[in-house]
Amino acid sequence: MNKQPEKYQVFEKENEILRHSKDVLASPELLSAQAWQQEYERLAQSYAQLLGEVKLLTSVSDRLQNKLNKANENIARKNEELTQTLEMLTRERIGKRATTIVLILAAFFFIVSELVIDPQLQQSAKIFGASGLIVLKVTVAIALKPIEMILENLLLKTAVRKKMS
Amino acid sequence: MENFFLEETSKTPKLSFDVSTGKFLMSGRSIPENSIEFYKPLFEWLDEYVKKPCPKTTFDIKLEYFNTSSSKCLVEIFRRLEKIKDAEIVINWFYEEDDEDMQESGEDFRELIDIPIVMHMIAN
Repeated sequence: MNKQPEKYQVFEKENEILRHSKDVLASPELLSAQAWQQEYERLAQSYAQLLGEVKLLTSVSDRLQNKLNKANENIARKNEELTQTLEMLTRERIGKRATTIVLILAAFFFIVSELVIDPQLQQSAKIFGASGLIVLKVTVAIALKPIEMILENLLLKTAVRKKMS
Repeated sequence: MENFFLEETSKTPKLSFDVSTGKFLMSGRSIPENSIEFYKPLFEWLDEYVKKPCPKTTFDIKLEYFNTSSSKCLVEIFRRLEKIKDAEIVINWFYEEDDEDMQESGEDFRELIDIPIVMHMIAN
């Protein structure tokens, strides 16, 4: 009989029983009727034991498979939660960065407007009136929010693109 | 005859078989790459032990997880212990409160093996 691969050596005893049975069958004339009966009884006993073990192994194996499936499902769920948390964190970080950039821009525009544009607007105010000047400044202030949103989206897309590459 | 002892690893269980007291322990995980290679020295040790066993042998099994080939090796261990005559032998099968799988596996072994297997629940 061929040498069994190592992982099947666990069935050494069963292989031995099979080998013995084949040997007995190969020379039937060597055994008496009583010896045949004894051989048959031994084989039936071994078969019953083997059947019991097969039932146990199948049952244990199925249970282990279920355990692995549950563990896999759990890992997939945790992975999904982790991905979502990471996305939220990225969005949060990018939002903060966009706000900082917009604040810096606002401060820059404020300084520029106070030093350069404002004196000229004072001249225009003589034409459009003081309320015209206020409306203009409020419009610039309101425009900061959409700028922040556009900037946030832009940074988010860049982050996603970086992540994909 | 010397005691049989193997330290636990991430894939193999702790094996502590004390020949002087008859106290045996198997704990941890049993998922070796090659189960028969891992358990063969224990089989050989048990073959010697059953020839002259302690008056009382207590085998504690505290496994978290074992693969299919390890369960076959467990059967082989129990079959060897079944050979002990004229001496008391008991197997204690421990399982975590929420581990139904390990409990049911113990019950499956109890049906198959001709040695008393006592089930013990470990409360979380």
